[in-house]
Amino acid sequence: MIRLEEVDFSYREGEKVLFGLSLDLPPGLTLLIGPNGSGKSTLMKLAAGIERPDRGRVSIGGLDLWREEVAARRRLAYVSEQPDLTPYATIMDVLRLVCRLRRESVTEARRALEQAGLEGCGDRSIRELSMGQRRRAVVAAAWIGSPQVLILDEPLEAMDRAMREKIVSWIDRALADQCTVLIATHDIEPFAPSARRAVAMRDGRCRLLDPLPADAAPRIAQLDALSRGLRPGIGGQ
Amino acid sequence: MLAVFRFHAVVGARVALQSFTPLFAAIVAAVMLQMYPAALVKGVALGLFGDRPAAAILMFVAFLAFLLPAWAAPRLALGLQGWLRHLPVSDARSRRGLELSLLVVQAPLLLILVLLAAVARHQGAGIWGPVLLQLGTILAAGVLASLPVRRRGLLIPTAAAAALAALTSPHSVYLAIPSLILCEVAAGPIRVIRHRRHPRVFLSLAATIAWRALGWRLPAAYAAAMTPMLVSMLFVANNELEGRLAAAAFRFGFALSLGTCLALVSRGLAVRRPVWPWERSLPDSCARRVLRDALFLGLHAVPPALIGAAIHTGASLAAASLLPALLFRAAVAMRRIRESRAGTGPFFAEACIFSALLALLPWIAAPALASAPLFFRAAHRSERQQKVTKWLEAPHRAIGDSLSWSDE
Repeated sequence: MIRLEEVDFSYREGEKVLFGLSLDLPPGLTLLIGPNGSGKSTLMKLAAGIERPDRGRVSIGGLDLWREEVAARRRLAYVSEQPDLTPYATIMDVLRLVCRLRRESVTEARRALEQAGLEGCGDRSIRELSMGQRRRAVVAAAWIGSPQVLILDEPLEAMDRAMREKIVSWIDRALADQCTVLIATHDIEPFAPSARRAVAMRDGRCRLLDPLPADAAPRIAQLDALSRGLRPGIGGQ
Repeated sequence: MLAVFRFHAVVGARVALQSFTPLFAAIVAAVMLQMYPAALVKGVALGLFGDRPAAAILMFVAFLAFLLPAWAAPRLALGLQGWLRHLPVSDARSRRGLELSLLVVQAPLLLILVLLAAVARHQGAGIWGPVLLQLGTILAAGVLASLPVRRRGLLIPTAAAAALAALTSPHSVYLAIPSLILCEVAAGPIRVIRHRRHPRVFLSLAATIAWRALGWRLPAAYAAAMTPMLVSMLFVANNELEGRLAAAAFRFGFALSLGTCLALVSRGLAVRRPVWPWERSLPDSCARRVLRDALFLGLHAVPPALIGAAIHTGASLAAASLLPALLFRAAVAMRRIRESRAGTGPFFAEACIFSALLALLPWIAAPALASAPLFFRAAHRSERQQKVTKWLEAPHRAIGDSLSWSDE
């Protein structure tokens, strides 16, 4: 479960990006949609503990991300939109670090690397990989261990078809295991069938749509309209 | 053609601006420290533009003429190997554009030479044509020696030989100039910079990343850290001080050495190893990150502290008692540096104040040591309050990210 309570956030003093956001996201798939610049990635960063809210509280499974930092983060995996792995370490170094912090064996790192199709790239730094490979490396890090909360920012971007299928099936398995999955995406179709709810972002405010229409066609139409920011009058939850 | 050269000139000017302040500050400081600064300037001007140019002054000019382009070349070349390569510009033209950028990077040196020429003229010296040719050859050789091109193996020795010839005799430039021109024509296209493979990590990943990011800046930090220590030693050696005053001078010098070392290492880390946002989603804590940074910084304060202990153990111990406070203040500075144009200046100022207080009031060592937890809390708060994904110029510029060439 991801919980945001009265969260405000700004990158610069006096320029708020998120306003009094409150959300309860129980297990299941939640799609985070909205036009560019609406605050989706910022919300993801707050939920993943990358940025700290200026006001309010963010918790993962009841654990405050900024009070019980280690315990809360042990349950989550984050795939960022920008694959910002450090250029001063190899991919294998990074995966080993993830294994150590998630208390997994190092063989998990090799397995994740193989699954992501990066067997020969373990000793390379992120700078030596293509954009698709960089994103695969970040996804491979998310595959290590069994995180209960997945926060995925545009997980299919820059991926080839085979990798997209792998990611979608990984998400399906996580949903079957009662994980909480939050996906920010403009690519609605692959996730629409399994989505339980959607959060529509616009101008730093959000609206929760729970449940989504049961039928596929109206569900996709509604999600599509929201991702284009067509619905006026979006306010707090 | 003109557009390409204009672009490269502007890029070179931007890079030149970065070297302008430190270079002038160093030269002004060196001149002002002399007993007779005006006489020194006149002497250098006449030594360079007089009838018989002084070899030592020419050598210093040659040192700067080679240093500035060598420092700028990797940054400029990195910007040339990406998207720009698809534009309809030939390899030769790109290379000449880069040469122009590197020549513009030497602008601070050119300005110094122009000022010295004006001083020499004011002193009644006629600016001798062959000297200008000598200087021109040295500047051109500096540019060519730093070019990252395919035939670098040919370029570097030729440029060095040309500069040496220009240094030794005004007449040998007539041989040096054609050889430089031939080398430039045969230089080949700009070489694509390949990233070095990283060896295996044997220590902690955080420390390895930090060391890789710092690279050669570490010896430079140590060299700078030795300066206050050396000055305090000279001060004590050249003045008849009683034991108490000598200890105070050593305390000041040693504490300032630690502060200088920490300021430079923390600056290097903040700029070269910026915050890694994704890492913050892993099961780790702000407190651990701060402690890791403090430990890493502390490790690098050990050599100056040991050297200090060998010189004056009591003063070194007193200076070491400031270390925990300085470490956590440096950790705060690392986090603030991202948003501050002052760099580690405020931290260095704090270190100066701490050092002066320690020199005058040695008993503050005990409260400084006892207040380490408070400094840790401040560093912890600073780590938590960072806006880690906000765009900031310094770290992007440090790694040559072309997106950093903004007006921000």
